[in-house]
Amino acid sequence: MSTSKGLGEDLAKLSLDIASRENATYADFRLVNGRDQIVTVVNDNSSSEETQSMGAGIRVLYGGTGWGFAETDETNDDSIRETTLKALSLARGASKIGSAVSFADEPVHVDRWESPVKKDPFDVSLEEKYRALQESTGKMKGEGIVVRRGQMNFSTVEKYFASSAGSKIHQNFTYSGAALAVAAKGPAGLQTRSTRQYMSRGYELIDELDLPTQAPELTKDALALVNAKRCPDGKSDIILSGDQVALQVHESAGHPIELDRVLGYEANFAGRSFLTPDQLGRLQYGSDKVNIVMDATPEHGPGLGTFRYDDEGVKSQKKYAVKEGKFVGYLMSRNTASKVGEARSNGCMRAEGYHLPIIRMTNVSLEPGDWNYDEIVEDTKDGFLMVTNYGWSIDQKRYNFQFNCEKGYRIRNGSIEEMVRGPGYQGITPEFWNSCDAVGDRKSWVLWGTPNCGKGQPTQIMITGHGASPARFRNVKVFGA
Amino acid sequence: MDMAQKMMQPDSLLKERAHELFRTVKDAAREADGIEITLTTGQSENLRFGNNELGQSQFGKSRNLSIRLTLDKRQARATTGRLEKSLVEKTVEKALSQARTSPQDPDHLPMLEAQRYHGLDRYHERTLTEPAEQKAAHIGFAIDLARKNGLLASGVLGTNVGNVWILNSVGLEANYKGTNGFYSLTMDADNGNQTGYALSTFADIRELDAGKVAETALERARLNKNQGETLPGKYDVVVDPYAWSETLFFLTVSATAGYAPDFGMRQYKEGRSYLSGRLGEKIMGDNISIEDDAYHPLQTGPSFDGE
Repeated sequence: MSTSKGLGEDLAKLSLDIASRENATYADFRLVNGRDQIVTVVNDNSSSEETQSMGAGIRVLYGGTGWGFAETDETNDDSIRETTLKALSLARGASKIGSAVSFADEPVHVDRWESPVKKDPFDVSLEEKYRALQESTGKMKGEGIVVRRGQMNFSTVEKYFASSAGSKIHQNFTYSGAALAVAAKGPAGLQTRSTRQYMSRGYELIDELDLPTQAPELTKDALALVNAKRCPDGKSDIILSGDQVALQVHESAGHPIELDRVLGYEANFAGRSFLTPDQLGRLQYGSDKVNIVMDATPEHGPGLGTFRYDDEGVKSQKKYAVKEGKFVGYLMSRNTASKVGEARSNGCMRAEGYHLPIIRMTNVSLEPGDWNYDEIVEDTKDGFLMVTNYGWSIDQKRYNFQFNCEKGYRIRNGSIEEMVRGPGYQGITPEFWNSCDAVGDRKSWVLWGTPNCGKGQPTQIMITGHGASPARFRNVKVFGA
Repeated sequence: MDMAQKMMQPDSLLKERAHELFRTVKDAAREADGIEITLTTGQSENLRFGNNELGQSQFGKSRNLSIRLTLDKRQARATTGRLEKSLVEKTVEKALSQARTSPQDPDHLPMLEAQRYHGLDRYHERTLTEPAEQKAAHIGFAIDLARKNGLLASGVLGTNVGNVWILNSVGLEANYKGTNGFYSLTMDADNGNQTGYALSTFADIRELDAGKVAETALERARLNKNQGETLPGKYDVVVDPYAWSETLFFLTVSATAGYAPDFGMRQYKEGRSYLSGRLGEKIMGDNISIEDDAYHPLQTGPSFDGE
């Protein structure tokens, strides 16, 4: 990777000096240098792609009333000068029709941080990556199998942030992830089984995932699903696998607590939220077993939402969104914190690359409960176990949803019995979370990664983390797809 | 000259740059039996607004060089945003290294030879030079209209200009320069329980009727007030064009195929598409025809794909 070390400081000084001379109220500068690699095997076709990108994003507040943002991937003095002037010009224009901007205080930070990595994924040969993927997809062959797919994704990101307030922050990140998917065709149509995990770690994650050992089990499942009976419709207790709970948290807790969305700034594209400010501290969002944190601190684990500072220089924090079922907090920015009476942002401004930072999920996680997974099953008299997401739909306020899973099992008298295909469930967010009476313990808790959360106009793709363990929900509307 | 206009490179320089980059790649990739470069540059400006006030205005400039190399039925792609000669050479080395270590592709096809493309006129200078004050006035009109009617206006007015150059080692050369933009607007009330949406897309910003967009959003929001409950059942349904365009997207692209097109030949052949094995079969009513037409007068973007 061509390093951006040193370049960030020089360009930031150039940009922030111009902003200061032009009387900007506030300015910040980010230089982001990224490297990505994707290695894919689909059936017998292999491909790899590597991308290198570097650019700068400059944000200016003018007259205390107007924001402007400009970005460029030409990281030379002339371009940074022009881009800063463009951001200033947009901010000046906005200031003429804008109203006073609130901007929560944040201490000045001068720091350096790197995400922990044991094995740099870019030091591992492409041959080794292909070998692992081909071995995995090779184990997915069988009568009725129509697609075998394996993919690995790796990224490194160097970020330098500097603000007119004096913050100077270097952060380096490494991300790794892998996915396997197999599809079979048979009497019940096309059925898919898959597994995926993405974290802020090195190639040691891929080693631990041991994809070739997962492949035969996924294949067996897919072939069984094409002959399985459809999940029946009705009301039932359900146990969701940890990866499905993670997505449920993302969609029905993570998105509705984005404060920009709540305040209407995403109404045109993403929608609004049922978690309006008058509900804060009042709404019983879930049962007392439900504790959801917004936690970007490294202590939470190496998630896709882990960092030391967000993209407006706010230090990462752990805050509760839901505490013992009560709705108590939002994902915020310096610009929005005061709108809900907070004196400080909890550090949730994130940008894809060097684009404009917006409020995004960090690690939004369901804290572990006190149930051993086997005990949850044994304690369930009549219900369904649903495993791994296969699509969903949720309304623009994140209130009314339905999720489908790849596979399910009938549970009778505490034991897992026959497989069912196309299991799905529907619910109203607070009713659903209030029906949660058992959350798996720390042993079954995994910090899952979502690498593709879309938001904003123009759309940005963000990586987010979601810790979750299997959980049980009582008397839920279930159906078969 | 407007700053946005000043920040764009003239066409002749871009062509020269594309050829110079191709020469650099060719010199560095002598081992490859097929070489293709795609140079894309772009510039965008977006004015965002929400809650009846202007939000964050954004400007962006980007350029990107993607290099595809083939070597004995092996293929690799490496992309960089940095166009200095030494870094382009490093990118070629990365692509070569990937190609050398990739398994052979049994479905490998040679690179496409020189093609003839119909001319397209999708570049409109005004889209690039429209003064920010004029764009702000469009938004101001919508916000005023929303306020007068007790609604909140949110949306974005975005304009883009893009250039693409593709050159390959068997003589293909394709280029495109075009502008496009969109104005999308929501007017809502009662925390989103009453909403109206409108969208206009254009290549030439002079075709944007911002007043009509605002009136449409308002009219829809008015119609959407005090919604009653609709019980599940069978009904005749009139599908709004915006809703239909979303539906069409999900008809053509599905999670079943791994977010690949269900109309794609690979998905079709592998049996992953719901259309697999149904070519020639009547699957919709007589009144439904779906076509793929890069030359449609309302279409924006190039008339060639990434190969």
